[in-house]
Amino acid sequence: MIKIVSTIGLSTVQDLGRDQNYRHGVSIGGAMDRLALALGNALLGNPEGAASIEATLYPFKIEFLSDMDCAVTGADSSADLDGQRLPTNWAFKAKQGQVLTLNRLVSGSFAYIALRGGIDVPEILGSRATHLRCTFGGYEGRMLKPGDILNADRPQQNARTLPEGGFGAESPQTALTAPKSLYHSDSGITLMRYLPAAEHPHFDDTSLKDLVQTPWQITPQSSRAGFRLSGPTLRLKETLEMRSHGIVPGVIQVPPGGAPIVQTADSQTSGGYPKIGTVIEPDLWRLAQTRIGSNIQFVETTYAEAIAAHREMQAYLANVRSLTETYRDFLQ
Amino acid sequence: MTIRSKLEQLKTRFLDIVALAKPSNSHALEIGESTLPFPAGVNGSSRSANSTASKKLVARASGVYLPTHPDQSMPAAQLGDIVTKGDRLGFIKMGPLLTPIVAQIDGSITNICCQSGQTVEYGTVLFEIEPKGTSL
Repeated sequence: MIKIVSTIGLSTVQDLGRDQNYRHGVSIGGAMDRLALALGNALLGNPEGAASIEATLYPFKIEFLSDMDCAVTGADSSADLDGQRLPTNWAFKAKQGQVLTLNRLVSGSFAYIALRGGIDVPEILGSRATHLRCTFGGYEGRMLKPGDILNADRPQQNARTLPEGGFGAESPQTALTAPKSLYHSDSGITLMRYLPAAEHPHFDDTSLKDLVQTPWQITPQSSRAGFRLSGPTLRLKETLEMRSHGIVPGVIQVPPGGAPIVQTADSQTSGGYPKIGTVIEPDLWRLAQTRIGSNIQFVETTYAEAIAAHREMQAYLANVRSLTETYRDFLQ
Repeated sequence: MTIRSKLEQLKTRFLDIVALAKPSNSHALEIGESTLPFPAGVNGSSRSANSTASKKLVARASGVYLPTHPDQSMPAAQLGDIVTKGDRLGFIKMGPLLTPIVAQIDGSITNICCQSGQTVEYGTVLFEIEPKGTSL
């Protein structure tokens, strides 16, 4: 059992979202950084999509009301347990009365707190993710507030307790192959691979060059539903009238103003704006972890490369999971 | 004074300093970001007489020894640090996993026995720690 001690907002219970009701207009939702959520669960021996806390404004503080295994993944939030600094992507034993604080951002944006067994909130439409816009799912369909008490589910039978001193995983930033751009090598810019979408050929040549050759800044008008970017104006060769159609997280829409929007976890299920591209799923966590005001750069990729990136991500998670089990068995 | 003789003089003084600084059983000296092997013939100082009091901290996992977490810029522990039981002194990397090297006693680090990036096995001596209360 844990108690939320302090939060300044936007912290929610999330999992990998709900994909069974998309056709009824229900957003997928779930963690903005699905990889970080799955990583925390891998370190604890939980099912991949066990519900965890997503935090994005700091400081965020919880108290353990009972002894519990816990993992903090995602953004480097300079986390500490009773004042003892925790490394990034770290799993540890917490004792009753101890306080976990995510202090401030060092890098990234979204941090995840996983508990052994996963957070026990009711499953709605196949998921425990908080759907803020529709106020259901997660903890009472809302952001967490100080005083809220969350329970962990019973751990799976094969999930073993953690060794003293805890352990962690190399962060995805260093473990996974980073995208490369022909036009930028600045380490301060997040590179993101995309596949051209249906209306890509309808944009003029300057716009198609601008898409890949200039950095795009993430504006403060960004949310869990989409990241609005600022940069050059993207223009169509001629006006395009389209009916609304299905869209998914990753789709880069271009409204008439010419400033692109990348759909993220809480994306609407349909939209009518022309789509210039789709950020590949294995790079969406990179977008989520890029802060408002920072720059991203698009890199055109191929279907084969996108599949390879997806496989590399899955292999990393599987490797963490299996080595975690070996290591814990070894220390028993 | 020629530059050559000046350099010779500096080298002699350097070796003297190194001999004074060298803890028992160490093979290299870290200066800033570079690591210099101790020159042959340089013997440890009087500290080595106390080395029997030091406790060896051995690896509890096999992998690559990392003094610094890959997301950090500073090593978890350095020579001479005062440590408390339970402190993290470094990491052993096994594939994508990072396992901690945890101090088992209170004391001070008198020797770091491995180089960053070195492959270590279960039982490899990583640190020598002089228990608290033992005089130097």
